[in-house]
Amino acid sequence: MKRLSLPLRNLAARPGRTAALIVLTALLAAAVFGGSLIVRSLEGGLDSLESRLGADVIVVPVSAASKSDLQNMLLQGTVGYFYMDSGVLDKVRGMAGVETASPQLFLASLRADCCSIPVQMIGFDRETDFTVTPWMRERYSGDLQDLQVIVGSRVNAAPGTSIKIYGENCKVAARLSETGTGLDTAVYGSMETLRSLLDAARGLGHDLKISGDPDKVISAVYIKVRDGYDAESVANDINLHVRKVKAIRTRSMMSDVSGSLSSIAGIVSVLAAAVWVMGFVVLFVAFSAMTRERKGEFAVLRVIGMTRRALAGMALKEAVLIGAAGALLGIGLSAIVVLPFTALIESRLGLPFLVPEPGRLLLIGALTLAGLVAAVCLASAVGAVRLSRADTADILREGN
Amino acid sequence: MRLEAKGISRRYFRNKGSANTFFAVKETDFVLEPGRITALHGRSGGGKSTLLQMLSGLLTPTTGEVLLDGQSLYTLQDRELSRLRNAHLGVIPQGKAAVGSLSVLENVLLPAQLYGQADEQTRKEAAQLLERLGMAELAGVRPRELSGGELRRMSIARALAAKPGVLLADEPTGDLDDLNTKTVLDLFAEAADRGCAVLLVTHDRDSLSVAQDVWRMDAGVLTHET
Repeated sequence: MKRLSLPLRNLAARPGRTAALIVLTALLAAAVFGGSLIVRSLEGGLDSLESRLGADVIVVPVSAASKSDLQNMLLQGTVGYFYMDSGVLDKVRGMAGVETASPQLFLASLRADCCSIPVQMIGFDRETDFTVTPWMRERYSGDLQDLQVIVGSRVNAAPGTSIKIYGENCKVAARLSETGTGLDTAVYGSMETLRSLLDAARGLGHDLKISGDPDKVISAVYIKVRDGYDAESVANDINLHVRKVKAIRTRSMMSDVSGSLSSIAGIVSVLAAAVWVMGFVVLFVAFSAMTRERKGEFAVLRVIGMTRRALAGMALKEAVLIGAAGALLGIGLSAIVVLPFTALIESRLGLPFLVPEPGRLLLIGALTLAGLVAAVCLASAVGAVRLSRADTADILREGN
Repeated sequence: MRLEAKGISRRYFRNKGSANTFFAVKETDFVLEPGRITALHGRSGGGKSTLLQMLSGLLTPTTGEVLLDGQSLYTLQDRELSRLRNAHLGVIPQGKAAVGSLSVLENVLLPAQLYGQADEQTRKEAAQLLERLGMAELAGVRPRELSGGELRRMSIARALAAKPGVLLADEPTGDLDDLNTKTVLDLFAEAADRGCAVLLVTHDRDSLSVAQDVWRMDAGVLTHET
């Protein structure tokens, strides 16, 4: 038996009390790690969405019920489609302050052989696109051919295979990295590919509620505003001068998301803080009671020659072991609860949800572990210091 | 080893912070010589345990000093004093003195393990001590399973196993039957034969017979009897 094993032996000798303290510590760790994970994932999703959208203003038909339809499509993967005449594109391009305007065409498929969920299809203009192409380049350097698509991270189709949409075989060129948004369940292709799929859908009898010439419709125009111009003014100008469309500032959509995120982050933080305060008080009381209960034992150790410092060190080592075990358990449990259900959380919250990279996850875990061990040590410190200062003779005189 | 107290006393406050004080041990000199058993008896509350605690380096005297082979205990830092207590002083306190997470044998070996490893010889001697004290079959059990008398014998074995230069025993035979009392007193005599200075604080008048020096303490005043 080595001297260092005494803290472990002490914990093992009282399994019920040790387990209760570890469970309590695990609860604190789960509150911190789980809370941090959710808040960081929401922030990550928002950042990702902002960088992926890439446009300052998005123009959609008024029939799209303004930004809520588009927002649901982008954030929650709710499939949707709406159409307006492509003449809108020329009008928008002619507006002051518009540097680049690129059209997109949307189509939804309730069934595709890749997926058990409805799939959103987005067509972009290869010549003018500035929103899809930059992040497509991260995974695919070639030019998309007709009936060739790239798929979001949650679409179950490997590069090189084909998926059948509305009876058309579409070859998968690449799969994009995760965004934590509705864009992860989308399929992207050129405008020509989308028009072919649109024709195929109509050929199969689907009513896409297109008014006007089906070959001359688009769903949205993504606009980059020229330097020196204000996106708000450009959006207002478009709303004023172009009929039957709604120009939405991307930032206003983001601010809605950001506001929701702040509310959720606030609730999570308050709950975590409440759990911490209660948990810390219970830990403090538990360690103080433990110290009182064991003071006879500590007196024996002093009698046989243990220093005050070693005695306090032993009590702190027990706290460190409890803190570390509880923190690892809590972190593990909250990871098991949160990580496999990110899609569910995203859909329930209606917000982009992108889990941090493994390195960042490890960092959050390490900080939680360090914080927990420090908190448990702090809770036990008063007892440990009192113990180290206790007069052994007094304890012996009290008859243990 | 020789343990000497020079002019030691211990004053206590009756109520914390009040001026109302009393002396549990009035200023006195006291010596424990190597190879001799010294017995100390007297009425309860007379100051015997307080004197023993001052001699063992656990209670700082109000006045005076305690010297172990000329080394003043209370001028040492806690670290040095703790090492010295571990190496040279065997203390048998009153009450249930055990570390609950360790077995009986581990409790007995604990002083030897505190600053190193118990060698095979120490383990063998610890086992022999437990056997002589009638506790060989209890070596592997936890202290919570022991009776008061068994706990007391374990505490005696722990103090003796460390082969101290000075043995300070506070009511060591209080919970013991006649047979076990005789065994314990025999062990103390053997320790003294090896050169250990033994202090036996007791209420038991029969135990006084093993002592070469007998002292009485009443109301903090120490008197040499024989």
